[in-house]
Amino acid sequence: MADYTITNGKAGVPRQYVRGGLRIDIPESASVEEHPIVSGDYSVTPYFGLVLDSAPSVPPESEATIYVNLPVDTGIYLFGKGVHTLIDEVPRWPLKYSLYGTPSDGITFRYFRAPYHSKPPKREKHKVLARVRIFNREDEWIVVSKFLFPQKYYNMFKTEDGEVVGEAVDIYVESANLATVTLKNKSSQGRSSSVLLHGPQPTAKAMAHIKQNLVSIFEMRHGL
Amino acid sequence: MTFIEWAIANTEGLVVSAVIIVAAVLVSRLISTLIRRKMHGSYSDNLTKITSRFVYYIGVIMGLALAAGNLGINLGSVLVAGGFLGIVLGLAAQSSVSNLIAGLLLIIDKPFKVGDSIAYGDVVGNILDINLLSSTVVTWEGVNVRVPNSLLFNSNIQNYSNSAARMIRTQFTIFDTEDIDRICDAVNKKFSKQWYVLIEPETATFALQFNDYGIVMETRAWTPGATWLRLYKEMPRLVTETLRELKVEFASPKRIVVQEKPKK
Repeated sequence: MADYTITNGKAGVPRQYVRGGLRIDIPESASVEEHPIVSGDYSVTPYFGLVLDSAPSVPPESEATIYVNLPVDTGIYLFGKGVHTLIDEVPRWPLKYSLYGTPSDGITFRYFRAPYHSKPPKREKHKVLARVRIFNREDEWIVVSKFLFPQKYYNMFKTEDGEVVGEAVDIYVESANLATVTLKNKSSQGRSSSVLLHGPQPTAKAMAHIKQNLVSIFEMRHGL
Repeated sequence: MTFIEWAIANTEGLVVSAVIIVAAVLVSRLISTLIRRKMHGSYSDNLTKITSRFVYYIGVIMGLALAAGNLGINLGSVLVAGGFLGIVLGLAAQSSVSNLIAGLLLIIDKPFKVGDSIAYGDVVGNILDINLLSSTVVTWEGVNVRVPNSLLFNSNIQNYSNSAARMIRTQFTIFDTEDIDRICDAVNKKFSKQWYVLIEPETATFALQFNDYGIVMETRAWTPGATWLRLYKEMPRLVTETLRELKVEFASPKRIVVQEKPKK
């Protein structure tokens, strides 16, 4: 069943995107397209976090690569004249939140739990592949049980096969309690032919709720 | 000696004084701009304008005083007159000055900003405006309360907007014949299903104490800062629903009325 409808335009009346109480006029030259998006309610938190079912261990001063299927919602975009704008987000997963750090000093994040894989896993519905490289700069073994990032900056990529994959993520671990999560602006598939499908574009209404100064690098300083 | 003769005799001093004044104006303007940028968005436009202008004029006055001193102008009598005037004004406007200083300290200390939800004393609401002498809080009943800044600065202010997460608690009483563990598990499970209840820290329900008619239970649940009101409003409903599902009654004082048969 379709989540939304697009009304037929008549003379002088533009086509409309309709979902629930939301109605948006579609200019004649524009088209409506669906693409996966990492999203959430920005009035609650702009952060997205993935808690791993089992935590990978990384030897001292070495790196490990894992793959996860990242849960995504559906972004509805208006495409036209080389410009695309996010007009709606259709939720595919229930909202759940958790706290990272302390109530006074930490952040809340949209919570997902997923297993990790050592090789790219089979694609699942409403999920995209994300490659996560963990660089352990510590001289001890470390265990990474979760990673967080600001969802506003997470990009999607389209491969030659037309498959949509998520952005690659690097985690630089400085100590057992400190790591930096960096969004690489590269496809998780690693092929140079991958093209950026769309940039992160929370709606203007959602942006109004973002109080923090967000950047694409997130410092995890309350543990891994 | 005419002014022109005096000016010719003190050309060097006049040039230095002019440089001091120009430098004072430029530095004051720079500081004033920085203050305006720093305060923009966090405080009302009015307060931002007043503070930046206040700092600007203080800087210019200091520059003028320095320039006058450089020219050998005796500021003693001016300062004495100013000091006397200051004492008179200070006594007359003691509370206003105290509010003014508190207002400046609030800007520096930033215990809250416009839009934050705060509570102090009996007043709970959102900050509408922060001005030099007073601030305005809109209570949740929609009433504007003007609060002198000195009162705010010296009070224990609880700022609800600064917390990433908040714990909300509710209490209910059950009869001591009930299975406490079963009720705790069911309530915790019910809360964990709500999207606005955090997964971590987990919801905790436990027996708190006895009272005259049963066991007082307490549920503590955590929610993102933005959704605390929702959880606050929903907690009693969630507990009531859970107890109904379990067919457990709330313990409440019961009065047993025995009607005796009338004696013949």
